[in-house]
Amino acid sequence: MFCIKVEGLAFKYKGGFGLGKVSLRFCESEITAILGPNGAGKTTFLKCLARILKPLEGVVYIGNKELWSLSLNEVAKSIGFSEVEVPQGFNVKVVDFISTSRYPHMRTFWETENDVKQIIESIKRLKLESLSQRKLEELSSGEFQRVIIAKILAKNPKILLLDEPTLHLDIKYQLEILKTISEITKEKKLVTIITLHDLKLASLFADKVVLLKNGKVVAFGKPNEVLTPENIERVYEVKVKVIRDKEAGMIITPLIK
Amino acid sequence: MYNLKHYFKSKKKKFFITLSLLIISLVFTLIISLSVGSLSISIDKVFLALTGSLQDKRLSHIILDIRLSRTLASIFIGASLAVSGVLIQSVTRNALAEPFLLGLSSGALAFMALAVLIIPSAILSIHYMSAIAFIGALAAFALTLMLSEAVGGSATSLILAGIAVTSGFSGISSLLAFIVQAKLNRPFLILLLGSLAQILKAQVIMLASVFTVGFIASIALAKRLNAIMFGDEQSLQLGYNPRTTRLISSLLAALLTSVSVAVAGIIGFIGLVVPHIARLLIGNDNRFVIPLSALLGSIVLCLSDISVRLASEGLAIGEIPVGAVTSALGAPFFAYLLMAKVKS
Repeated sequence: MFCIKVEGLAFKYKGGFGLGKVSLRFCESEITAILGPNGAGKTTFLKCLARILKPLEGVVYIGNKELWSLSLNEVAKSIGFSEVEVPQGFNVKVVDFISTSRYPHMRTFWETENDVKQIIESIKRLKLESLSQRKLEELSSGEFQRVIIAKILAKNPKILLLDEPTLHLDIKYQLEILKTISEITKEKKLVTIITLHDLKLASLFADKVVLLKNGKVVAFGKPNEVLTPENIERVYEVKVKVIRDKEAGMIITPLIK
Repeated sequence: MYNLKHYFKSKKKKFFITLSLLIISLVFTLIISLSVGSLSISIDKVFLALTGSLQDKRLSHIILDIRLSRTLASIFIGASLAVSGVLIQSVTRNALAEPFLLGLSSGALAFMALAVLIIPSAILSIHYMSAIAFIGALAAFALTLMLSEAVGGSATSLILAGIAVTSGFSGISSLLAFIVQAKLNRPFLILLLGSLAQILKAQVIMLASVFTVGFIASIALAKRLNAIMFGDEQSLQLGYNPRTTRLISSLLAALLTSVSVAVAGIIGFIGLVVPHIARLLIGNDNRFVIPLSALLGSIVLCLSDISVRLASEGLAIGEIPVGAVTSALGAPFFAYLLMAKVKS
């Protein structure tokens, strides 16, 4: 079974903040949600996995190969990471933006029939047909989020690293996107790691959950094992009540009184 | 519902149609350029001369030696500056950037002037001058990038840093050019304004070779340039090291700019305006934008040079520098782009 193994990963930014030794395993067909308060190191961790940040210590294994021993092209083909800057003044269209995702796979100068097929499929999957001709700068933040996911999908990576994919989305699209991510993860046997703020969404869609605080792993395991009032209070410094409902599953609600 | 499959096919079709139209326009422009001047030569005589069958040796010499060199120079310089503009805009992710505005042209000229002051005979070798111009262009670009980073690294800081560096090197060039002209009795000031007068065949060959190398290399980089437009992290995500892309693009842009400056002096705004027009025609894909910009750039500069020759004739005031024309037309366009950017 294809897995990503992280052993003793440590990283430090110039300002001093970073990740303490993290050791975890993520396997195919599973969604792992990385949870934690602001500044816990969620995005940093994701960037280390995406080979954007070089760790101070530790190794990341993609399957049985070391991440940093792979060529840039191999990394590009296997990993999809969701951080984007939109250049101002260029009027880039959604469909053209998504199309660039095929470059790691393209041996030819122009897109092949298969490349076009992948691009169109990912646009359809994220229901972006009506937005395909619009300029990136004109999209709402929610629409842009969906475009980023479509772009990653078009690349057909084995590993999805999504930083807050539900940011800016209303509840309907939050659920839809996570449902789509879940379907694709199971369908294509991907390793999906997402950072989330919303504990409820994590409990609904994640197969495993990581609780991060100050760059260290506080807990790792299935949502109903990890998301206990004790752990949540330890990490978020907030008192909550966890209720199990037959219909709605796990309900986590803060106790403000 | 928009037909996406059709979109991809129609993009390519549109490109090839536009490409063909521009090639035809370029040929027309070239022929007109050969027939226009202090001596108006009819088109059929131009054709005869090009095929080597013109009896009148004097006329043949004017067309093939003097005018053809000048025309080809304007074509290759226009194309080089346009492609240089595309490279710089993609790599700085800034639609307002171009070789002149970011200091490359002025840097090239300043170094050239300094070289001629130190070794007066250097001006005779286009190879030495091009090499020195290349170093000057790179130095100026590096300075602009460093200054821009020091001031925050935003798109605006880049333009401001560019203007600062351009002004600085322009001032140095003017001073040095004045000294060169006074001390060495060599016409140097004209290069500040950019002129295509008196082009030699050797210079045309240099321009053509450098352009060919630069153009082919830029096309090879086209996908990398598309990738880097969305950030360094996206570039990595697509399998391209952004530092490598920036380095090679800067070297190519400096190469294309510096040889143009070495031959004809400072011709600004072609690198700014032409890529914009190309993008209006064909969108943002550099695989399309680079070839179209090259063609458009050559047509624009050739037409500018034709109008300069006609105006010089009509006004009887001697040779108007073509750089002045491109600045006069380009600067309002730059102002318009600035205002559009500020509004958004």
